[in-house]
Amino acid sequence: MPVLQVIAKIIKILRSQGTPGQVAAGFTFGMYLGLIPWNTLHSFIIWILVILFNVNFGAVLLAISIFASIAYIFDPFFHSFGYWVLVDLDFLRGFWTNLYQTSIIPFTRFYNTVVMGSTLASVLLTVPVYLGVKWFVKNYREKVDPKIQKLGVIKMIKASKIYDIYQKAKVLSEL
Amino acid sequence: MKYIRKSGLIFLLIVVSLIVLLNIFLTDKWLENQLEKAGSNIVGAKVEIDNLDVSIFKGYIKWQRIQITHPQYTMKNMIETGPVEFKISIPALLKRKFVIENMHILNIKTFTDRKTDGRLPKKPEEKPKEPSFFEQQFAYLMKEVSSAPAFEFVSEIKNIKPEEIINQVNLQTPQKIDSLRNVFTSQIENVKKEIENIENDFNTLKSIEANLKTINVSGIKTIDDLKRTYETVNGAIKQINELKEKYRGKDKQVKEILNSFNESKRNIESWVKEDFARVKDFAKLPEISTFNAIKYLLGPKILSYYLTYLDYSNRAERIVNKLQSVKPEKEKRPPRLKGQDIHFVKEKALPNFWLKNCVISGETNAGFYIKGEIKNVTSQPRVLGLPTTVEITGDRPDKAKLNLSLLLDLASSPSKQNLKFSILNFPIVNFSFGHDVKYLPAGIKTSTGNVVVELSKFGADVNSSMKFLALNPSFDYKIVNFKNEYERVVDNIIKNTFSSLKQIDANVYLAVKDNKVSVNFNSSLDVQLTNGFKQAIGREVEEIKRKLENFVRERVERYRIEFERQIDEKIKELNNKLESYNIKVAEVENLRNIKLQELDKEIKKRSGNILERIFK
Repeated sequence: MPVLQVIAKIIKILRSQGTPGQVAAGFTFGMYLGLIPWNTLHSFIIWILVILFNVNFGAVLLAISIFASIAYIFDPFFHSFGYWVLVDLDFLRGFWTNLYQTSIIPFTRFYNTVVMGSTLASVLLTVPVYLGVKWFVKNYREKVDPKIQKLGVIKMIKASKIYDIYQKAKVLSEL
Repeated sequence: MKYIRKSGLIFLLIVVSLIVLLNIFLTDKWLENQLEKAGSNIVGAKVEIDNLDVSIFKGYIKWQRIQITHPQYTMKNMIETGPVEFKISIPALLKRKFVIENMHILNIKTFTDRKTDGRLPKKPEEKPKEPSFFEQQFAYLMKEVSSAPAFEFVSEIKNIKPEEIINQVNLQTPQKIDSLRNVFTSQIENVKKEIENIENDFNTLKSIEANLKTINVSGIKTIDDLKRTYETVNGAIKQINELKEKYRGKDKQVKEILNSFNESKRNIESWVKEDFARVKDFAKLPEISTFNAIKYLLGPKILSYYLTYLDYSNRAERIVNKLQSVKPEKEKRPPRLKGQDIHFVKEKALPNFWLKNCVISGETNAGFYIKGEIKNVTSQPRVLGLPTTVEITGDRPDKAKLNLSLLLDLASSPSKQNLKFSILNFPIVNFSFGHDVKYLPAGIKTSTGNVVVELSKFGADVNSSMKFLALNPSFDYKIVNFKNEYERVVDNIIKNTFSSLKQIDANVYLAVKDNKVSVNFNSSLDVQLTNGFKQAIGREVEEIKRKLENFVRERVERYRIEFERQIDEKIKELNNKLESYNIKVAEVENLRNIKLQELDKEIKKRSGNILERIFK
């Protein structure tokens, strides 16, 4: 059932009123929130951005649930990657040391291997994830969705009384 | 405003308001819980904070009381404080660093009663950690001071049968003699083979001898023939010398074998002694001449104090070193999603935690009114560059005094530590020694005592001394059921010795060097107890020792004699062969010299005749 729920959610997001850009931005923010540990300053800031900016909230939640699982699986990789950046790259040591002594920045917990690893991984994934999701949503809406709507099964469901009741209930819940 | 979510803005405002409200009403409680949880994890028993009040904006923290449960006696508090208030540095806090300028902890009390049990709920059992080499050594020492063979021996003295003991111990000397025999036999066989090769040379020698014998000097016709024969005979010395060298080489080898054989005879004597020592160990025979009773009396307690102190000290050093390491080692498997914190150490910067000055005062459970100062407690001493110092003094109305001075310098490398602790004129009441030896007193009922401890630690090396003195002690004994008359005698002697004591003293020296722990206990009491012990069971012990030594010697002797006889014979055989060879060489050399002289004489004679004929 959870798989079906996720699929339903994805379809709902794809067919929502938000622009592909809003869905892609929401998904990208969600990726950050899913990958980066929650108790960091930048994670908190991203939450504020998600709340403030008009991004697709469903996409945010979907991305969090997907990337949180990925973060759990990739935790050893983030740890190694973060350790390499923080410790093994000697030329960055001075920079990190100075950053460690500044105000506010230490609350990002950049000095933690998993935080650093997951943050950098998120930054590297930003552009491909944003562009990829945007392209996918656009193409789905233009090419795939019209075909699905023309399917006999869908027409049958839409013509049924149950669907009618569901639509009315949906309108009522939105009031 | 196209990109801004109006509802989001409202939501954010609500969230901010909620946070402010929660900060006012709930943060203290939340932080209190967090601190209690962290403290409990460190101590291993409940840590409770009453009425914690935190104001981040005003920069202060205060509480009414802290109770730290004693991990072993969970119905008691190890430490309990009165109200405490201190300021924290806001600029440092913005850097995620916790700096306390001045803290006053007043009304400290130790070992106070608790209303509820401070035991923590049981955690799922962790895999027992492999003890370190250092811990293993301490465990060994603890075992050594906990089991007193001399006292156990008293109970078993009647049951000791030397005949049975000797059968149960695997004597190693016979095996060692066997392997020695093999070594010598193979060496001798090798030399023997080489000497047999010389037999061929022996034939050469015989042919030289035969040739020399055939020379008839008067039968040689011309002077030229005489001269040629002279040269040939003279040249034989080269061959003779070669053979002589060979002989000397073999002779040297045989002498070396003989020397090493004599050396081995002396080794066998030391092996016998080792076997005897092994038998003594098996029989648990005590060494009464160096009887160290004070070790058993105070050892377990003192060692456990040392171990506790060094354990905490090592643990603190390990944690601090991890927090101030420039290039920390990568943790192999940190907890999932927790990662590893890398603390970028910079000298003369702010450490992550720094308690600059802490003034304390209060009363201990022993009735000392204490006061003192703790300075520069930090999580990163190398960043701060200052050592932590603790100075506490205490006194009681009866003039007992307490002093504690600690310098903990983890900023330097290797780290340094100096501890001086003393309690003087302290009334001792119902002090338990904590040992299991049934004859020795279980504790001191009443006395007045001094304890002076000095400990210095440099890196992993430790040097420490402890002086304990109890004046006019009265002792407490366990009830003992005697198994034999020796036990009764020993018990009487010990009780008499202790009851006549005007004081009991103990000096303990403990050192750790290159990870090896050594402890030395001594006391004037040892001499008295040794004499008493000798008087009680000395003769019996000596008799058992004599019997055991005789048994060991009997068993080893036949192996030794047989071994010496065999090797002696073989060496003699070699020497005989070489001697016959030596005689032959000497004979041939002698013959050659005679022939040379004859030839020389003949040449001179004939040359003289020719000259005479010329001058005529």
